[in-house]
Amino acid sequence: MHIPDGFLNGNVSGPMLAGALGFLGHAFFRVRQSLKRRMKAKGLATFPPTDAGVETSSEFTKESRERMLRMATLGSLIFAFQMLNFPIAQGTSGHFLGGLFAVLVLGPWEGLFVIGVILAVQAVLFGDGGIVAYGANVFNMGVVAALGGWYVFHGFQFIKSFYVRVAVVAWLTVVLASVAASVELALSGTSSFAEVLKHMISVHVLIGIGEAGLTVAAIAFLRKRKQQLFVLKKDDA
Amino acid sequence: MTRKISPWWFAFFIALFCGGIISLFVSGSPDGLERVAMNQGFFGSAIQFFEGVLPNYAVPGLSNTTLAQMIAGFIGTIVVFGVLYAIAWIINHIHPTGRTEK
Repeated sequence: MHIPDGFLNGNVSGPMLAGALGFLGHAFFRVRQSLKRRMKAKGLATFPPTDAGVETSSEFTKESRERMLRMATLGSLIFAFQMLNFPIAQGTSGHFLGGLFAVLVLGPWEGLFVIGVILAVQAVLFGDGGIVAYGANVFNMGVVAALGGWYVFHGFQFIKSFYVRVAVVAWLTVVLASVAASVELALSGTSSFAEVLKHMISVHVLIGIGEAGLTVAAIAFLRKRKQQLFVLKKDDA
Repeated sequence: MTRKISPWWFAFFIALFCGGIISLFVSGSPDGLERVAMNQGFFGSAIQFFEGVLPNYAVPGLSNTTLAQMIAGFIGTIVVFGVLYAIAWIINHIHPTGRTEK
């Protein structure tokens, strides 16, 4: 679903680029912020109170090393999965998006940030997704699918089974991202809204099934290996 | 604590395997958006301002296309890992108070 340059006009892709960079900047800030809070908590726990930075530095580095590794690995995993195009109907293929997977494991802002970096590497290194359209791609696959997916996941608590909820929301994120892309295409005057929406949805309804399956499999793998998922931090020991 | 290999390293090997090996056998058909663009007749309006360092997920100038794609897949997976690790390193090693950790 990587939009190349030329599909969107400047009036759409320009503001979206600015907006996407704003979101990514905020995500960067939030990732840093979460670290700061953790350090403060540790500093208060020691008695007599000592300088948090000095006191906790060794423990802190061990934890942060794990965190760095987790973030980087998850990004490379999603990137690699995105290369695996699976065939769907009539000479069309689809690939994994990974937005929901990223936020469930890393949390909403870290997940969004990881998706943003993956899209940047794809655009610069492989020419997959446009440079000017980068903002639109971050919006569709990062802000809508990843960040939006996080909130939808929490809104869907009426689905009691964890894996069913993962599957349903994963499917939904792909469809929602395709709707967002349709809106951008229509606003750019590339195609009529009704037409492009109809076709985008009908294709991505199928791609979403693959997304659901892969997301459930990947989450199940991490849980089996006793990895702490951000989404389960409270109720999963 | 015994030093165990983190499952995240294992996951990184899976990523390398998927990106470099399995990606060779995947469907080459246009993806969802490309298909719609073709059917709706606006596929031709795509512009490449910048082809990318490795256009089309293959190392340019390599006659063996399988090898070209394989190397590109490995490079991409490693670059994503490296960029994220570098950013995470920067975040973690700049103290929120402004002091840098050794």
